[in-house]
Amino acid sequence: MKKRTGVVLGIGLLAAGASLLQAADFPARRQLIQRSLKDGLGVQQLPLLRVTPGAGRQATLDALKSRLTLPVEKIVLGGKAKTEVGAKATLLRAPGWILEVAGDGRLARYRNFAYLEGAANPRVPLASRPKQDDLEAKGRHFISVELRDVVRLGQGEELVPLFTEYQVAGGGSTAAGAKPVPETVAGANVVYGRTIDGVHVVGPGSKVRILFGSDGTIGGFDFDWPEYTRTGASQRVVPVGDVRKRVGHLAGVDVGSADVRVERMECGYFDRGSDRRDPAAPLQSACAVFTVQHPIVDAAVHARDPESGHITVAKVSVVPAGETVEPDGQWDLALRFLGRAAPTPAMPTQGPKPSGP
Amino acid sequence: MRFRLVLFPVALSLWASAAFGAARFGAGCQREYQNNWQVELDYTWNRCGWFNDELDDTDSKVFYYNLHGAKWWWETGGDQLTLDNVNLFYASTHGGGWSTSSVWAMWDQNQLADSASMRLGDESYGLSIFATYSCETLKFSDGKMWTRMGPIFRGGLRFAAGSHDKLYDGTTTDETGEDFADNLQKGYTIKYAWKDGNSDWWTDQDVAVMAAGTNQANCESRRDTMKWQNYTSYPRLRDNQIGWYCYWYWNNL
Repeated sequence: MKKRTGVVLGIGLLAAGASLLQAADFPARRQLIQRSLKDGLGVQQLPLLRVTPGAGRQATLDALKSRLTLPVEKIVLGGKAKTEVGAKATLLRAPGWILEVAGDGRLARYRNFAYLEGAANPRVPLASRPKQDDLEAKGRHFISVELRDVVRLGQGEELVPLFTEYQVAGGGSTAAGAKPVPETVAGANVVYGRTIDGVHVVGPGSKVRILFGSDGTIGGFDFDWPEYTRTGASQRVVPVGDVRKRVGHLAGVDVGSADVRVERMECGYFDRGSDRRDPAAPLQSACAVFTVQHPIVDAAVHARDPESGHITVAKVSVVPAGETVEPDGQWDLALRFLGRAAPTPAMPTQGPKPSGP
Repeated sequence: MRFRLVLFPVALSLWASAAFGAARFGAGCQREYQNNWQVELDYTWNRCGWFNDELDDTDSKVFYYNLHGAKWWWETGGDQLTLDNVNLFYASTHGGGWSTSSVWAMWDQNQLADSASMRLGDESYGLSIFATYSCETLKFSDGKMWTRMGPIFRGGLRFAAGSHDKLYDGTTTDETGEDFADNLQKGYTIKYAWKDGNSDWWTDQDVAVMAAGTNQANCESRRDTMKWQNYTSYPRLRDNQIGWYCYWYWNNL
């Protein structure tokens, strides 16, 4: 933990409670956070998993095109679209929309910008925004029907809604004393995750996001959805108290400090996503701890104005939760646990200095 | 003498930029801080280095500086050599939204770049896009967003990308710079390039963007349609030409 000078606004919290939960979280995520804070993974042992190679980008493109031959909501794949094959992704695009498939085909993104940004998607007052339960049901149906060839569930696996995010616009006149205009909503996202025998997959992998317009019409989606198999090996999981210690030892964040507010904690299998996964590493247990601090950096300014003089520090520390840890070349804190160093990226140089006296 | 030294490379690179059509960008980032006066941001070098590597494939990286002694070149004293010497500036450091200004932490102990002392877009090439992976600098919840960011925009800046609350530093957000650059290259609007680049679908990233316009419709059009490929088609607006500010964010409600 790096020492820091100054007063801190934050009050330390590490108790399971409603104050840590976001209003837009679905019950599955609330339960995950509460269980993680209290019990960590909530199991003593976890089978290790391996990601099976995808069938390739073209196979995913073909699967989506064959399923979505006609427009569904505002998901349009027909017409004169062009294909661009790049090193990292294959793009299918036409004026107004784009479909990207990356990696080995498990990672995809679709946006109908013509709809999402067009007149057909008018903004609505905040109070008239679509309800998250309605969006969740609609998104789940879309996934189960239109994405069923690419978002498949294995034995013991479930698709679980995690949270909703709204897209909000605002602003105001720059005239002195002018008040901001009322904010409006132009859309929403619902993010889904996966559980395997009740254990969540945390991290960017195993996620589906559905984008909606202001009236709940679907206008886009993302997925990072690998298939997993058991390696045959298993990993014993440490108690949650040991996880907290690891956050301090490995990530340098003292979650017991009054300076540090724990916003969320999520424990499960850690999948860092298709574009950054170490293909040789198994999926293993981890806990992600989201922390926030508000150190005072200018005490004089803060004394005059309590809304000033601070900065905000937000960190997510993903620490391994196994008694033993499998090497993972893409996970720095797992490497640190094993006493290995992660690659050092290029460093910047110092900028210009003022001339003259 | 100083002007001559500065103007020659500027003139040369103006010619090069016009000849080859590539835009100019720079980055200013900091991981650790003098005497540990701020919490270390362990993933900054990846975030910024990969941003540079990606955008450098199509455009011209003019500089990649740490934030040692950087306050003067963020602010009006030296920005003609750095931020205003590129079309897009990307940064990763701590930030804060105060009642009268947005601040960005420099390496030097107790040093903050202060929006009240920044005016971008009016010197050298003139910055167009100011993108900072920092907390709170696009805060709007207190109705004082223009008070904080107005001084910067009044120089003619076209677009700002940042956060109204929290952007997390972690192993799953170290590729956000690269993804932002990639989305820009693919022709996304800057708004969606920033949103999709900074979201990993898992971390609750408080992503926000901001623009200025002559009136509400003009501002929202600039905010919603500006791209890395077309930003020069939006006229610069300075000082009293600006009648409206507008923002866009994604959040749990």
